Amino acid sequence: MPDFNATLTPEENKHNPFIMTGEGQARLFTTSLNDSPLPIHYEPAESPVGNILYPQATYNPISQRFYANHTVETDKERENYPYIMTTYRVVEHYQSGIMTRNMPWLNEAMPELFVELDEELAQTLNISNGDVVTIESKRLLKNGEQKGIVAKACVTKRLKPMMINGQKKHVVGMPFHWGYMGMSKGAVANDLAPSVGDPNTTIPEFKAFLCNVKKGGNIA
Amino acid sequence: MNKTMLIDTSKCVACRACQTACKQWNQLPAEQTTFSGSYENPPAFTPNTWTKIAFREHEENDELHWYFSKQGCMHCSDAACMTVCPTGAIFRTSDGTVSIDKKKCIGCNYCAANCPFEVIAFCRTTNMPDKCTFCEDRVANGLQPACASVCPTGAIEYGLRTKLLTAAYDRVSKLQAGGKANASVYGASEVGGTAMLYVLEDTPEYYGLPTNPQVPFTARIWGHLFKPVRVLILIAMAFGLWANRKESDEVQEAKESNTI
Ligand code: SF4
Repeated sequence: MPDFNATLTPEENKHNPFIMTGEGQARLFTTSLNDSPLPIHYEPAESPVGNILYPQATYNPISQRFYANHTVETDKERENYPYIMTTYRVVEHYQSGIMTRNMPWLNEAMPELFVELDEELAQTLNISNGDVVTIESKRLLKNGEQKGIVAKACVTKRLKPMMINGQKKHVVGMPFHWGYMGMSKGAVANDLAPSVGDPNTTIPEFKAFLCNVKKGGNIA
Repeated sequence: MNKTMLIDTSKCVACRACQTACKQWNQLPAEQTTFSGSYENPPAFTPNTWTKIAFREHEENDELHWYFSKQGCMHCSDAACMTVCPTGAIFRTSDGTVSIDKKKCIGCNYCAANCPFEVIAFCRTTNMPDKCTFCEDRVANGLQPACASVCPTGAIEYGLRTKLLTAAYDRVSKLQAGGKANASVYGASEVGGTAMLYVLEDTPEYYGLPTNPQVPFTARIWGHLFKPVRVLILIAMAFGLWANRKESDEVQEAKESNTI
């Protein structure tokens, strides 16, 4: 990463700004990383479309895998999980929420796990604000039985359908702070997400994967 | 009105630190809420929720806005609640804000029913209204109101009205120059001017604020016509009761004489 060296003037720094390497220069080749150094484009491990840049390699071929048959890879399977899921945070809760979900004032402001849907998708699925919905992914398909997690629906203008490679795709999103213990309990959003690690850091691909959304379900 | 809070909605990030700080300082317990389709929670003002962030989505010309505004008692100069309160329990403090003296309150609910901003919550169990106190206790001790003291973005500023009004108009002209044509100052003249001043990026209704808040006409009639003569009305009532009592004595006597 190029940066300012605190001990040099900007003029001196200009020629060797890569402060993490001894010589201050960028390196195009390295022996210490699995995947590097120039950025290229891969689709997520689970993607609704192929990689138009590298049709032979949809996802990163050296990503770290832990389970066989873990992600959706065929078009036939994609039909079962038509929506793109992304997970994120809310300001009221921190990580798995084990501190913040035991704080009454924070639970009051953000009481339950929810899933955000665009208005068009909500209409197609006949889901209204506050309805209970079930979200499924391939990770919860066990021995031929499809399970899902439940959350409250949040129908919002903030999400819009996307045109991806000429196909209309819906993105749904949910926070991941809930769990089975605490003052405010809820399903674990990362039960849906794939365990696929980045080649260098093993950071999991929790931010983009495929899912299905259905109206109804039982909030435990 | 000398002390004011300027709420600059263009700086608010909806962290709800203000909402929580209010509960902490005023020792208001959390409510049991559910997720009903909006980030806004609790859904309404209650005796335990005096301020909260309103979340409103607004879409115009393919442009999406998510407007946040910290709402609560506006501390109006022409306060409908004060006008209608029959016992004078709602009064103006020396700082120009509006407070409730619960010892004088008789629980008639007139204030909550007439508030043009619908921010007074009336508790049916205790028969008492509740609302933001402008942190009288803090202000009297030289502190800022709890909400203003925690806002991380500087969206809530506390200070002298004259200074904050200038700041508000400055900010609005900057927003307008930046393309927010409908940006405005809210509360400068509404209901006589309110101690809560707002900088809005768009029309008040998109924030869930009334465009032209008014003291209800019936509140004026009650407040200005009947309230001043309430002593006379009370005397008339007392006389009426006394007169009826006399009558009933007569009836009683008649009955007694009949039975003998
Ligand atoms: S503390 Fe400030 S930024 Fe946070 S919600 Fe309140 S007004 Fe908005």
